[in-house]
Amino acid sequence: MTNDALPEAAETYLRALGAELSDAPPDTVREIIEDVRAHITDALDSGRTMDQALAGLGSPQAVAGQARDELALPDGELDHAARAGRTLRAVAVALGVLTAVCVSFLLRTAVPLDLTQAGPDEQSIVERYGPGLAMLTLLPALIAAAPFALPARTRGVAGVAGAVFLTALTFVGGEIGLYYFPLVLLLWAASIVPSAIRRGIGRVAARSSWHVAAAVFVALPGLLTASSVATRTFGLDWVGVALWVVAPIVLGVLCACGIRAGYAVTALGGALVMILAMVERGFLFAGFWLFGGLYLMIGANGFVAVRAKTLNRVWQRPLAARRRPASPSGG
Amino acid sequence: MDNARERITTNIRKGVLEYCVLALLSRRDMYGLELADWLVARGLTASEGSLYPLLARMRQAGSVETRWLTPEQGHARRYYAITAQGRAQLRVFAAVWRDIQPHVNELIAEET
Repeated sequence: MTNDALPEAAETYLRALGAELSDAPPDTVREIIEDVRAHITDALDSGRTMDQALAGLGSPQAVAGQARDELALPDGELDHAARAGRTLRAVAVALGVLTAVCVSFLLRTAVPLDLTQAGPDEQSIVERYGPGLAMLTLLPALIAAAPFALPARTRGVAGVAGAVFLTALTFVGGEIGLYYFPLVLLLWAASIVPSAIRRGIGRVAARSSWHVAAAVFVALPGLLTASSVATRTFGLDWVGVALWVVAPIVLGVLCACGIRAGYAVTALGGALVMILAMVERGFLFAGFWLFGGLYLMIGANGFVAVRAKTLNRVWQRPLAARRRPASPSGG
Repeated sequence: MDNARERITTNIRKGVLEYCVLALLSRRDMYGLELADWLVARGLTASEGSLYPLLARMRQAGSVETRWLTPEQGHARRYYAITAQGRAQLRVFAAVWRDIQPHVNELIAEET
């Protein structure tokens, strides 16, 4: 009993404890986990049941909370949530600037900003209204950035207020508003994701269903293209197959496994599609822009929600590998 | 009322648990479960699990050290032992406690 791995319930407990402390110094975590492991072993040896032993210890979250107090670590969830919010908001601001450039300089639209000012066709906003009014297209980016400049207490409210305001603007703004839709999605994510992390939503079951849903969505273009190629609706060369079939499916699998890199590449791919859509301005420009934005949002959300795995998982190795050999008199 | 009791208990334990551990270890070396059982039985800690983060911090601070011992009966265990620095801390705590304790007792003597 003492030199083997413990029953699964205990190993699960120890794994959970290690995961809660994934940002603590590994040596300290190893020491605590080794002690708790020895405690469980001794408790079982002294005739307690596994349930009694684990109940006596308290929940892994409680032990980890105590460790955070003792080691003066920042509260893991709060810190993680705040970082997630900042990252999403920074991506949103960058996207806001990109959208402003796109809308001001590239968008050639016949739709006037208001009905009294119907201009000639095929002019960009800068050409039609001059740089002064074009600066207005940067307003959403500024609204997105505003919470960065505000004191921490008001940030949450300011973030939601900005998201509500821009959502309304998107619907009122007609075709131009449509281009701000990805930005609006990201702003909502920047408000919702941190509070979901704080409240511990998505810790277990919800988290894996979110990964699967994201994965299906990411892999979808690959699956659709694959079926089109298979039914010879249209042909693709090998590069095309690699780019449009293999890449989305591989990314989907990575996302399903909750691997951060998969989400990072998904976000970058989404951003790339948006930029290409801007540069090419070809067929289905708005469609590519919106879908690119959607993938950017999914990728960025997944990336910030999945925690970096920094801990070396020593506690998962069986006790025998770490414990000093017991002397022959040992029982 | 129960909430208040719990909060007060938690706060007082927080202040004294470390020194109770030192005092216990000044009698003899003990391993984790022994320490935990002793403290839980006397209501000095709520959960056994919270002891181990405390011990890890105390070891880093140098007030306790660990050594592997194999008792007559049983297997090799990691034992905790008090260091000279730990003893010095325990003496300071004892002096402070003896100062404070009679005054607190006097103040609450008439409460039932």
